Amino acid sequence: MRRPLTILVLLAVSAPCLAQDPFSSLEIRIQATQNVNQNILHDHWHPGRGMKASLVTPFYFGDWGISLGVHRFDARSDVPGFGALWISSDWGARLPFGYRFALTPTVGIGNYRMSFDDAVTTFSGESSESDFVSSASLRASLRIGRDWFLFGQAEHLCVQTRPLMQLWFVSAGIGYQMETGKLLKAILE
Amino acid sequence: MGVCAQVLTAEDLTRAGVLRLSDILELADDWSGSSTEGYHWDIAPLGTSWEASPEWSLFIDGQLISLRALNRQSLNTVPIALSEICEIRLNATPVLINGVLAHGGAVQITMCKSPNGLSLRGQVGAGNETGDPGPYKYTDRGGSNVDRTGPTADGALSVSSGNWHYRGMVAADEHHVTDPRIRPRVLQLYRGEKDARIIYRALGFDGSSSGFTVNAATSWTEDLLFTPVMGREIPVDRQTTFVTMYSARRLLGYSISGISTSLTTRENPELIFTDIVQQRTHARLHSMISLGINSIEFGAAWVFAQAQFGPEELRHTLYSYRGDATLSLGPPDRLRMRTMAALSLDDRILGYELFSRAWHDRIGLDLRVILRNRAPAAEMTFADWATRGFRPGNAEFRFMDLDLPRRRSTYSLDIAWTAGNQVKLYLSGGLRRLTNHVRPRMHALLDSTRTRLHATTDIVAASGQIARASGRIHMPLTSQFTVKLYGVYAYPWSDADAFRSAWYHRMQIGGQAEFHPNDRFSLNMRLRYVGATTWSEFEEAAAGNPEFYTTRLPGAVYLHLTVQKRFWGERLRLSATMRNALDHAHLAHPAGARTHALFQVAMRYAFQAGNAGSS
Repeated sequence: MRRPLTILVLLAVSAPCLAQDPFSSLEIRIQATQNVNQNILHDHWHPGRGMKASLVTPFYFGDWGISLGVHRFDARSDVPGFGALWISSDWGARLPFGYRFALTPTVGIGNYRMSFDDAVTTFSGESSESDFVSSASLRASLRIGRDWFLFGQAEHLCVQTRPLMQLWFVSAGIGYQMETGKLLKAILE
Repeated sequence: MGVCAQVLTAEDLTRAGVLRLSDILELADDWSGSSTEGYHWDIAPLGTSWEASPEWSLFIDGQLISLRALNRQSLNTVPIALSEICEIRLNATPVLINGVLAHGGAVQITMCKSPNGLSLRGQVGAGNETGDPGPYKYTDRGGSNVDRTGPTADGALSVSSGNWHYRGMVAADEHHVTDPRIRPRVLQLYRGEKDARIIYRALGFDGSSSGFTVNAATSWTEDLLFTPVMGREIPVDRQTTFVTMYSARRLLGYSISGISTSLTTRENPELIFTDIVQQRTHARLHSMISLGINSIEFGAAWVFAQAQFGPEELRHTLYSYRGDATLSLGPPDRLRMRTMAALSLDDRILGYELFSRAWHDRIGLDLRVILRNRAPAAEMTFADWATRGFRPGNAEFRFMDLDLPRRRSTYSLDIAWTAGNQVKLYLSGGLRRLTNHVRPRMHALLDSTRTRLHATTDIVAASGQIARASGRIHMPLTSQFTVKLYGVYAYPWSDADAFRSAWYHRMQIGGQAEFHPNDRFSLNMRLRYVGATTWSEFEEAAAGNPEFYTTRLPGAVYLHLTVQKRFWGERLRLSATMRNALDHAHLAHPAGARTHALFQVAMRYAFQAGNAGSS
């Protein structure tokens, strides 16, 4: 009995992301981010605050978005501090609970570019590094008007360095949703 | 025509995120390959020719282009703009193309016709490999730098009208091989870090008017070439230039092609010089006579080939004369047949080629037979040079039981069956007998910490048989979701160990799934397993240093995923591809290294002004 019920609940909450008009709307989101975990990276660097901006639109299934994030790591020891620019493409499935509240698990991939304050080696172009990054997150959003919403997000970044950079971020922000209109929809399509 | 060939359209290439010509190997069902550094690939149709002796042929717009240099053909040295490729046909079985018998299979590239008016097309892409130390390089935990792949870019500008077109193209590429798991097998001179290991530049021009077509292109590759026979890498500048001219008139047509490949050693601390220049000119006159639905074509060809190598400029020249006749019989909906017979005089040796193909389009059966005896070499091989004293980097050669290499013969029989409309099934099998083929067989002592081989190469005559079977099924599960499964197996047998051991790769199975909800978005996933035979030297090295040789599976697994999205109609296409870059099989240790990922993004742009035309 439990299994069919689970399937029905999953179907009920996932139906909106399956039956939707692709690129019919556009969400603009901005959020403040903070790295909160501790691991070997944090033995050498102290995380500063960051910002992230995103554009999200309904896709053929789920939502698809692109994000641009910046944050900083200040040096704790004899290493250069660095600023990180993080560009990613994300896909998520929006699970609404009533009209105002929704949970959205997302996965994403992208590029994580680090610009170091000082290059200490003699090789050219060593002041920056770009690496592949994958991410997974859970976002909770609360609608506060017809177009505006507040949201909080917990996100895990895995930058594919050796050793891996495992970063947990918590963030909060505000978003605005608008209809794309014919021209913007045609461009997105 | 050509049910045996696997056809890759421009759309297939875009949806699979193909950025380099060698990436088509990911889509090739019947071909396998190995690479030392992930850029130059030794490829071959599985079971048709061995990796050590690349006998497959490259055709661009029907013209034969030979890339052979130091016994290898690398597709990525071809001066070509990928964004202008309209179709690639991969023939794993013998095929007759414009009177030339490609007995070891062929890669046939057809360039797109320029659309009427002014057209600009191009693509650019780059990728990141995983495993870079990132910020850890400033700590005691960080290892060596791992860099990017690319940027890879090409573009073409064309202007065209109804019966003429002119097109210019440029291409550029960079390749870094810095991953710790692959560095030791190539790293002697290359210091890695931020400098590219391979830099490629190319430009070309093609035009046509009133039935006459000309195509000229050249590429320069600044390379650190790992040569297995020397067991080390050498810094070389490689230049590949080709010019083709042809007229396809039925009464009297002609084609002329010239190609030059040069490898010039740059200054290096080991004072190795392997300068080599290979030039080849091929001219053919042909005339076709129609006999109702049947036709007969006569051709006369002349080949001049020359190689010059070493600081002493040793020269090897070869002339070949060839006459051929091709008879085509049968209407389109009935049993059809094409038979070609050719006589050749090659370096004062008389040879012959017979190729016969019978096929029925409706039933889907295709039968091919070739007899090739003392046939035109016209391609100077590594063994030819070695017998004339060429010793790249003072490599050690031993000549074992070597008969006249030009007495080699090939007999093969291939049968293929294609069935179905919605679900398409393709089955093929073949048997090949090779006698007096010459093979360089390497004995290498592997250093357990880096692949600086001490190699001794035996030049041996190898004779034997190889059987090959392959299958492919293409299933559209829904209108938006299609799946393809394929497998190929090659089994060599011979008294000569040198013959059997040439096939490192004997099995390949894989699948491809594509989700394609509309003409703007696609998701393409490719999974492949390539089985490799064990190799005693590798096993011994792995036993001595198990940590370094972590992957001891008798094979390699490839997983590639591409997402592609099209914007503004046909103009802009963005794609992102995840591929495992380093689990490549390698000639020296076939199982390859540990799986690493490469994430690439590519952008293709096409602009057109003027009347809409064919493209």
